[in-house]
Amino acid sequence: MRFLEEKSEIINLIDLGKDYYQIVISAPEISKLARPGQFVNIKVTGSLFPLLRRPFSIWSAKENYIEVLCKEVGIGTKILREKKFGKISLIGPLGKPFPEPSPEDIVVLLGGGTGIAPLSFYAERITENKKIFFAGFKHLPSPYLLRRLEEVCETLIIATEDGSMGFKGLLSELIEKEFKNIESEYTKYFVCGPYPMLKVFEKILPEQRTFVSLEGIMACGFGICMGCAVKKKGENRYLRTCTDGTLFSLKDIEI
Amino acid sequence: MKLKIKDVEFKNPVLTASGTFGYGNELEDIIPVNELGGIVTKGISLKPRMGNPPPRLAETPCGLLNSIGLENIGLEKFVKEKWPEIKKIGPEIVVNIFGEKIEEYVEIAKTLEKEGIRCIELNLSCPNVEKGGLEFGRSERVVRNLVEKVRENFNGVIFVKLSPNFTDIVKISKAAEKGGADVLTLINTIMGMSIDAENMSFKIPRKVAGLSGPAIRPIALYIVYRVYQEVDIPIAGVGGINDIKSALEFHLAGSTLIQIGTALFIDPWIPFKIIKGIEEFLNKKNMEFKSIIGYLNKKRG
Ligand SMILES: Cc1cc2nc3c(=O)[nH]c(=O)nc-3n(C[C@H](O)[C@H](O)[C@H](O)COP(=O)(O)OP(=O)(O)OC[C@H]3O[C@@H](n4cnc5c(N)ncnc54)[C@H](O)[C@@H]3O)c2cc1C
Ligand SMILES: Cc1cc2nc3c(=O)[nH]c(=O)nc-3n(C[C@H](O)[C@H](O)[C@H](O)COP(=O)(O)O)c2cc1C
Ligand code: FES
Repeated sequence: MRFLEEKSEIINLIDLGKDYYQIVISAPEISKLARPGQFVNIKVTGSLFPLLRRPFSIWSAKENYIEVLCKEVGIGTKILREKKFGKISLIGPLGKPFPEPSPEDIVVLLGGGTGIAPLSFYAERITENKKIFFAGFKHLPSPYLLRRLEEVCETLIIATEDGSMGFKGLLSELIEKEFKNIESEYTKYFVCGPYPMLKVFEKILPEQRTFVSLEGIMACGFGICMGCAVKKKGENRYLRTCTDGTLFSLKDIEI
Repeated sequence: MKLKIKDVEFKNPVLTASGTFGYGNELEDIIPVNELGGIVTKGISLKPRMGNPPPRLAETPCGLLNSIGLENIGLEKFVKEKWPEIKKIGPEIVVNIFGEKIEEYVEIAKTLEKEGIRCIELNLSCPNVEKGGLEFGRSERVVRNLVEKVRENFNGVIFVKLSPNFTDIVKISKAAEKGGADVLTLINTIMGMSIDAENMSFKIPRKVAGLSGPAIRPIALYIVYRVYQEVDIPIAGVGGINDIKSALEFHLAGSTLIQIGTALFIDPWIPFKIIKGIEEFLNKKNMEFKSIIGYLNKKRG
């Protein structure tokens, strides 16, 4: 584990409609170290409120900056959105990188909402494998977001709950329908999204070849608070999402 | 800023608080751990404990509620696997321990003494099984008895850690002192609760959790102030310390040592900023470290 703190600046903020937005953060050190699957922990103000940092997956890491895809859900993500080009403190990169796929793997990415961000970064860095990206949203995603996903994956399939684009319904319903077309002994499933979605995929995807990236509540993000416990399957003990994950094989954990 | 308590020397007064710095070596590659005044480990019990199911955390205004449930690997594994690693890293290690019966505290203390551990911290905020699940720290008689029993079996430095949840912490502090405690650690988390109104549910399934962070700082500070007036042993102040100023507040109120908890989650480098800040403060005021301890707190009598 190697991480550091960078006092950074938001150098761009792009509104992506509804509650979504993208921030681009100057982070010359963290961006060099960042690998797909890792996250940063952001302090959105310099004051005591909100107290804790907020964890966000790294959506992409370039020369001097990283990109994060955010959804406004509460006070921290609201302040971040309103900050525009302000200063933030950033700790990262945290968590283990996703593993490199084997050459024969078919990589199926299943992202719900902002859960698409780490998967998109993964897809961006995988060049040799066949990749299929399934992305689920409540409403019509912004054209920019779609373009970003198309750039990293030859096959992109969309589900929207309101039916404004692609399959009408939940991502899990789409996968139940498509499963036989994508399943093979070489298919590996990478899942990231809201908790109810993970619960459904836990039931329908093959345990041995499915990997889920968890986003439970965290206090530190680097292994010292034990707040991010996730139950190890078949054992009476918990793992830590932040340092043992965030990616886990379905055969190892209870969601 | 060197400090000596019995024959144990602390490089400086800044320690990490129990349960907020893992077992002690997790961040060895990230921060200069050997520059800390000391490390208080995660609480260790006789048998391993799994801890509570998630969610274990809820943020509150300037505070954090936790219900980790004292998850730990147990004494045997700690001694075999962790101690050999953490004793190498440099600063003084204080092993925080807890049990459900007095005998458990005694047995752990005995084993740790045998392993050459020089400092222990007794967490008395756990349910006392023999007393029907009430905290040990509630009764003066039980506290005195418990500390005496541990004292008979442990020669090193004994910290006794108390929470203000139920009783007059000044009385309990005196009982611990009479029992033979060397340092009082004040305070542990304060019981609290958080509700998700929208979903009409408790944020933490166990409902009650321990509150820490700046939200509890004034309470901790006042307790340090009051206890300092009534006892003669040193105090390790803890509760919401997150910067140089708040660290100084605790020293001025009567803390000899300070412990940093929740603030480490936000900034694991904060102890070093505080150590440096205290030194600069002393230079500026042209004062010795010892003379700021309890500066604002005239002892009675
Ligand atoms: C490893 C990881 C990666 C994440 N990646 C992203 C991402 O790429 N984009 C994105 O928009 N969100 C992501 N999240 C979720 C994001 O951290 C939360 O939405 C955010 O912390 C909410 O903060 P708030 O103050 O707006 O909400 P509030 O509800 O006001 O927050 C209250 C507390 O709960 C915590 N919290 C609330 N919701 C979540 C949640 N879903 N997960 C974890 N903690 C939560 C907050 O951190 C805070 O401590 C990620 C979470 C984790 C753990
Ligand atoms: C996540 C967490 C776990 C804790 N675990 C323990 C523990 O095992 N034993 C103990 O004596 N105190 C424990 N504490 C209490 C802290 O050591 C400290 O007394 C308290 O958090 C107040 O200090 P702070 O505001 O600086 O965090 C824990 C606190 C937190 C936040
Ligand atoms: S968030 Fe603190 S240990 Fe994982």
